[in-house]
Amino acid sequence: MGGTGILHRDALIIAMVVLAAFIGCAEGGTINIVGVQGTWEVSGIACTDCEGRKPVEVGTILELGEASIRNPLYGDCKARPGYSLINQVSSKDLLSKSGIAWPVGIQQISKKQTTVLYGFVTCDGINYMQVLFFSPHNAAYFYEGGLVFLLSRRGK
Amino acid sequence: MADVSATDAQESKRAKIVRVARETAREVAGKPYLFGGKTTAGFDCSGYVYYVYHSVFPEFIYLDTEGLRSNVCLKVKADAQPGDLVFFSPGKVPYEVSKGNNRDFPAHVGIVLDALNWISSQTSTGVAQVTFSNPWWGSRDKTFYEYKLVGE
Repeated sequence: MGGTGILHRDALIIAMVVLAAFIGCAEGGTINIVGVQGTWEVSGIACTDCEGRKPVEVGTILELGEASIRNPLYGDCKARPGYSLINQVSSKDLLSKSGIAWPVGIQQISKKQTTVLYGFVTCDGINYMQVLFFSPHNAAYFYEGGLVFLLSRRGK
Repeated sequence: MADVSATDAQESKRAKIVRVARETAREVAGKPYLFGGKTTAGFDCSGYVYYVYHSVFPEFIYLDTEGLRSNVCLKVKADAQPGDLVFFSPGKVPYEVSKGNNRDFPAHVGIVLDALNWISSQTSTGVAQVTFSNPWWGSRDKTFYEYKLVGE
């Protein structure tokens, strides 16, 4: 149907614009593990084989805290969030790592950075979120179905 | 009157599956999903189920997700108990369909931890605990299975 087609095309355009802006913003800045915590907002979606998917998750707020994590996209972590399995890695090494299907947009962003922070946020000692931080302000959250949520830091 | 010794044994097997599932998850924290993985070097979903179940039941053999589902040693049950298996059917995912993504997704299998949670190795997280109310997984068709030796 025409209306649906326009919606899908618009969704794709919105996602592409957000991704382009994201790539521009991802440059510069260093981030440490402490900086990972805070309020993050879904600002875009990158994925492969998902033409026409509406980016309805944009605007969702995630709170990565010391004592708990609020994550409406997955389910909250109320027991011992952990950030020690996130490490600084070479972007080149990360992109060549086997077993991870990197959407083109994520590859483009990562290639602009020499190093990134990559790894897993844990909950009670068990993997909880696979994440990639490009800067203190921009990150990627690997979700199910090959979706990658682009995150922007909210507030300071 | 319930057979107390049989009940104890049943609870013991179920408790052991859950304990091994959690211990294994902690052992592989930081490791991503590994397609075809059946060891602590990395797991896919059926590899993780095999590793945990084989630790509790040495006679449990490896089968991929679809093969596991047709295993005659597994029987369908309506209400899950800790240690049972949860299968997600292949096909479209309602969460994705509602957003305009009509692609098909593969089958998946995990282990029930309790009334609220299951655990397996997902492409997004590696081995991780998932709530039954998780927006993405909770929208999928699922069936629970019990292994025949869980009750022995």
